[in-house]
Amino acid sequence: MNFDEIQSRSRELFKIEANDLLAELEAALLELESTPEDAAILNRVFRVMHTLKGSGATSGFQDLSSFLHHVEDVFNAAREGRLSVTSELIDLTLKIGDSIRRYLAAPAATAAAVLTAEKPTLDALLAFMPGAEKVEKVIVSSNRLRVRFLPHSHLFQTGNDPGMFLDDLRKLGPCAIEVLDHNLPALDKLDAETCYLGWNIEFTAPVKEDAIREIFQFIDGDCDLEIKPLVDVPEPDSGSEWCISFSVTDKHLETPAVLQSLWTELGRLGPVTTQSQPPGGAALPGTWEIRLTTTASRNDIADAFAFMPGCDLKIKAARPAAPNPGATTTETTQETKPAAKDNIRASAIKAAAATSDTLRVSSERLDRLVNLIGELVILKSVVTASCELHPEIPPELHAASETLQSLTTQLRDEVLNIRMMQIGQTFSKFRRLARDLSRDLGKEVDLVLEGSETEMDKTILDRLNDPLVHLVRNSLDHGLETPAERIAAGKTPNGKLRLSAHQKGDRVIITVSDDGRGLDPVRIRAKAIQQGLLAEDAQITDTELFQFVLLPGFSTAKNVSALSGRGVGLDVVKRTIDQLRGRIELHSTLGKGAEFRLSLPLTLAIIDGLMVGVGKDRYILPLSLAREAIDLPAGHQSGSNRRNLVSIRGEFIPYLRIRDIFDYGTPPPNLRERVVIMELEQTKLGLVVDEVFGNHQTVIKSLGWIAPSAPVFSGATVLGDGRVALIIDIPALSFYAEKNPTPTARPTDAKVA
Amino acid sequence: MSKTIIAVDDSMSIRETVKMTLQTVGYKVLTAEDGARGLQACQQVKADLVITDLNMPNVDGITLITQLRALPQYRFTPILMLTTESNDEKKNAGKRAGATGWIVKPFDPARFLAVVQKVCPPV
Repeated sequence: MNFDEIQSRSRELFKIEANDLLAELEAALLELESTPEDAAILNRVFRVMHTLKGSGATSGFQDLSSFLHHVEDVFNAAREGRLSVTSELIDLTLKIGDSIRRYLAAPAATAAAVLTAEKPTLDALLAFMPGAEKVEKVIVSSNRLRVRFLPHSHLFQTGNDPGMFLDDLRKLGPCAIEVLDHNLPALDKLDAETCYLGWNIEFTAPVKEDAIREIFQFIDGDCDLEIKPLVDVPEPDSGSEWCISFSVTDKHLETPAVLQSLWTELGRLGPVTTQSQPPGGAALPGTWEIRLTTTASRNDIADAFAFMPGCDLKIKAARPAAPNPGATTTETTQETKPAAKDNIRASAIKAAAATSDTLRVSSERLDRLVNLIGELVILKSVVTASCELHPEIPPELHAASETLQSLTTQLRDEVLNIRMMQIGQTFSKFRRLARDLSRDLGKEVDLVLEGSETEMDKTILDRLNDPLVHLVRNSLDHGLETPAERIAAGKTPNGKLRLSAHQKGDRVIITVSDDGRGLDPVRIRAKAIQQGLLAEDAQITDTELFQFVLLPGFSTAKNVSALSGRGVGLDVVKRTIDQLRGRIELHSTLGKGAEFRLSLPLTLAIIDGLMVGVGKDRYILPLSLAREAIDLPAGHQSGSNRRNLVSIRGEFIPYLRIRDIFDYGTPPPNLRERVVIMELEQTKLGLVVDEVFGNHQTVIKSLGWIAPSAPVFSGATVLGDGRVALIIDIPALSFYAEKNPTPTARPTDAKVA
Repeated sequence: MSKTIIAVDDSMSIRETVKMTLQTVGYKVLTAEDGARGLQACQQVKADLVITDLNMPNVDGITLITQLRALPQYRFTPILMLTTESNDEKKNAGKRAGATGWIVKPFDPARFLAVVQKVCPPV
C-alpha cells in the first residue's frame, strides 16, 4: 500500500467515523437545548467537535479541521462559562453539522466550496464569542511565558548545541535567561562531552507557546521542557504557611549542589522552618518535612524541587497555622479537582471499553453471510428429507442429520440477530426533524418516542427511514394545528407526535400518531366517489375508507380542507411498505388525531414456516401466525357448505379453502381436509388445505418480476427435494379472497369476525 | 572561511536543489549519491554539517548516521536527515542513530535554510 492509498483509505475511514460523530453531535446538541446548563452534555459536544477536528486533520481534511477549530472555540468558551448556550447557537451548530455532512458527501473537487458557503453560519456562530478584544487580552496576559529548559546529559551526542536553541529563543522576543548550574560537578570530575547545564528563560513580552515548542522540536525527548504562563495565579497571600514533605535519597546526597540549590531556591521564596533534618546538620536520606512561609504559589514551590527527581514531594497548606481562610480553600479546590478529573477519565475509559466491544463489519459482508446461511438451511432440508426417504441409512447418519438441523437453526438465529438493530437510532433522527419542522411551521410539538429498543433487521430498518420521514412530516405539516388553532379547539397549545414500535410475533408494529385534526371520512368518501373509486352506496369501514388516502394522486385537491395535502407522497410510503412485505393502516377520529400503523416483518431473509399441501403443491404459512390445525368437521366439505364458518370451542371462525381460491378445480383427495387457524392482528382466519406437514425453516426467495402480479405470495422457497413452495401472505390472501369471491368464499362471511 | 556541508541523496534533483540553495548563502557544498559515497566524502573532508536522505541504495541514511557518529571527528557534528512528514518511525530511528534534526520533504528553500542556519550558523 503506497502513501496515496493509505491516505485515501484514511479519508474513507474518517468519513465513516465522522458520520457517527455527527449523529452523536446532533443528539448531544438537542439534549443540550433542553438542559443548556448541563456541563456533561456540553463536554460531549466539545469532545465530538474536538475529535472531528483532530481526526479530520490527520486524515487530510485540513480545511474541515480549521473550520471546526472556530466552532470548537465557541464551545470551549461555553464550557468555560464565557458564553451561554442559546437556541440560536444550537441552531447554527446544527446547521454546521449538516454542512459537514454535505462536505463529506461532496466530491473532493467541490467539498471546499461547501465549507466556504457555510462561512456566514460560522460568522454568526462566532458572533456569540465574548468580545474579541477581551479574548485578545486574555491571550496577552497568558502569553508571557517562562521556559525551563533542561537538556539531557547526552545532548551533545546528537550534534545539538544548547546555544542554538537559546539563540532562537532570543529571536522570539525580549527575555531574561538564567543558567541553572546546580548539577555542574567539580572541574576534575567534569566530562566535557556531557551536558550539565539547564536554563530558565523568562519572556517579558507575549510569545506563542507553539513557537517555543517548535524551536525545541529536534530535541523533543532529549531534554525536559517546561513552559508555563508567568501570570500570577492568586494563591494564598502574604505569609501563608506551607507544609512540605519530601524524601531524600542517597543519590540526591551524592551531589551536594542539589540540596544547596534547594535551600537557596526555597530561601528565595520565604523563610523556611524545618521540623526534621535542619539544613546545617549532616544530611541523611529519608523523609524530610519543612515549613515554608511564602507568597509564592504551590507551583513555584514545586519548581524548587526540580533537581530532585523522585523525591515524592507533598505540598500542603499548613492548616492549623493558616493565617487566612484562603489557604484552606486553596487546598480543598486543589484536592477536589484531580478527583473530578479522575471521574471524567474513568467514564471516558468506560466509554472506550464499551465501544471496543463492538466490531464494525460492512453490511455487504453480513448480507453475504445471511445468503450463505440461507443456502445452508436449504441444504439441511435436503439432507433431512433424504434421511426420511431412506429408512435404510445407518442410524448415526440419522442422528447427524438431527444435529445438523438444530445447529443450522441456531446458526440462522445468531446470524439474523447480528443484523438486528434497535429502531432507536432511526427514531432519534426524528427529534431533529420534528424540532426544525415545527419551528418552520410555527407549531409547538412534543415528540414522544416509545419502544426505541425494539429490534428489526437492518435491511428493513434502512429502507424504513424515508417512509417514516414522510409520515412524520405529514403529521407535523397537515395533522397538527398551530397553537392558536389548538387552543381554539380546546386542546393544549403543544401538539403531541408519538412514534412507537413494538414487536408482535414475527412482525414489528410501528405507529406514527398525532393528536391533530384527524381525517374527515365524509370528505374522503365524497372524494373517492367523485374519482370513481367507490360506489355511492358502498358499505365500507372508516379504516377501509382511509386506505384511499394512500392511493397515488388521491388527495391533491385543495378543497379537501381537513386533509389538505394528506396523501401527497403517501402513495410512496405505501409502495415502500408493500415492498417490505409490510402493511399500512390508518386510524383517525376527526378532530382528535390520526394514527398511521405500519406492520412490518422482523426479517426479510428466513422465517419459520408451516408447510401445508394442496394436491401435489406445497405452500408455506407463517408459523408465527398459526395457532392450531384441526380436521375440518364433517359437513364443511368442499362445495357442500356456503357459509364458510367453522366452530371451534364455540367460536365461529371464517375460513378460506386454498383449493378454491387458487382454482384447482378438483376435489380434495382426502376424506378429511385440514383447517389451519391463523391469528391475524384483530381476527382469526382458517385456511383449508389437504395436508399439514409441519415446521419448515423457510429461506425466503423473492418472486422477482412476478411479485407485483402475485400479491398473495410474499415469496417462495426451495424445498429439500428441490421443489418450490410458495409462501402465503395471509392478510393479503384474506384481502384477495374478499375482492375475488369464489362460489364458496363470500366476502360477507369472511368479515364476520 | 565558509563552512562545508556534505549533502547525501540518491535523487539528483534533490541533491542539486539542496546544493543550489545552500550556495546562495555562501556554504561550500559537496554531494554524494548514497550512504557509502557519503561516508567516503565525509572521511576525506571534515564537514561542518551533513544532510542526508534516509532511503538510499547501498548504504541508507540511518546507517550513514551511525557510521559517522562512530568517527571521532563526527561525534558532535550536526547531521540533518531529509524525511517525509508521515514517517515518524524513520525520524525516531534517525534520532536514535544520532541525527541532530530533520527537514521534512518537500521543503521550501526559506524553511530549509532556516533549519540549516540554526544547526550550522554561517561564520
